[in-house]
Amino acid sequence: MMTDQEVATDHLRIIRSLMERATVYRAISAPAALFGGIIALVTGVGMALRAPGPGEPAAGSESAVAGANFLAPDHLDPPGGLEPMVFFLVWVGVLILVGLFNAVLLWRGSQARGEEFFSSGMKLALRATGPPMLAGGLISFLLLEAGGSRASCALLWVVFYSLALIGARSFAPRSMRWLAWMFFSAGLGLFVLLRVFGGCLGGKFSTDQALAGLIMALTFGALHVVYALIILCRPKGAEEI
Amino acid sequence: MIDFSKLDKVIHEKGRLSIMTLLATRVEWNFQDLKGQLQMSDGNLITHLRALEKVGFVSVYKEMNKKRPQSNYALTKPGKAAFEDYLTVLEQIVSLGKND
Repeated sequence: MMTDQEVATDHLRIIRSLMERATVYRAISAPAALFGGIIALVTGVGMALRAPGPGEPAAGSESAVAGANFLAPDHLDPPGGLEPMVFFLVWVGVLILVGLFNAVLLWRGSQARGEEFFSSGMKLALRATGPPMLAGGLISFLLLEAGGSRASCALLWVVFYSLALIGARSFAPRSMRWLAWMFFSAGLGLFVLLRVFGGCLGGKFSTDQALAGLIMALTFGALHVVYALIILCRPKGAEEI
Repeated sequence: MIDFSKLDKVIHEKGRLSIMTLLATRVEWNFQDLKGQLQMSDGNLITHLRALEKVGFVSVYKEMNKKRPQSNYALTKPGKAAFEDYLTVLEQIVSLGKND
């Protein structure tokens, strides 16, 4: 026969464990993060390696080197690189591909748990991440369309993506909160670092396309791979809060 | 002095306590999500939900989702108050045990 204290403790334990479980929703599964991270790494590094080398400064331009002032719209890469809108569309394509893969995995997970795909957690996640993602997409499109640099566009994506993840932090597991703050720090940190020390970059990696590719590979590529490995390498059955 | 009368008898049952806890975490839950989280049978879950609805702790509204009826459940104001009171009494009981 349990005492009142034991019953109360038991009931409080039930409440605590249910509340923790119910309020955690992993919007990005580990395999999707690994898949997306590898694609971003390959695409970003590929873009950086295939970028044409730095040329002579364009007429009227202060510098052809993106790093010298990567925010300024007046620098131009030498001919042969990706058009800004092609750059935009390539990464939108990557986003759609990885998003579909993630959706399939989340759908399979919801089926296994006997839940609906558009569960309360999914709706919460969409409400939290949707506005920053939409704002990031629209602002970066307008920036590129107005002649802005691809590197600053890539950094905007990093910052807005981090804001989307931060928006979901109240119900995200610890590793996703870590991912959010890593993206946030990387986005803002690289903005400042490149603005201050960008001129020190040399060779091919000083061009806009190469710099943008490198930013995408280091953030969307490497950070997602690390996030996926953290989840995949933890002991089986370990619930994360 | 602990007011044991505040230990609501309707909530003081593991199944219904679990339902009340989940309903306290979000604005609303649909039946399938509740079932998935609690691993209860349809009959068991519906019985508990009806008991909570009967005392006015839970409200339900039905909507069509992909041409299928779906029941959504939420805590009512009296339900939230009862749950908070219940938690307070539980905490008092536990802390009383620690002081002994």
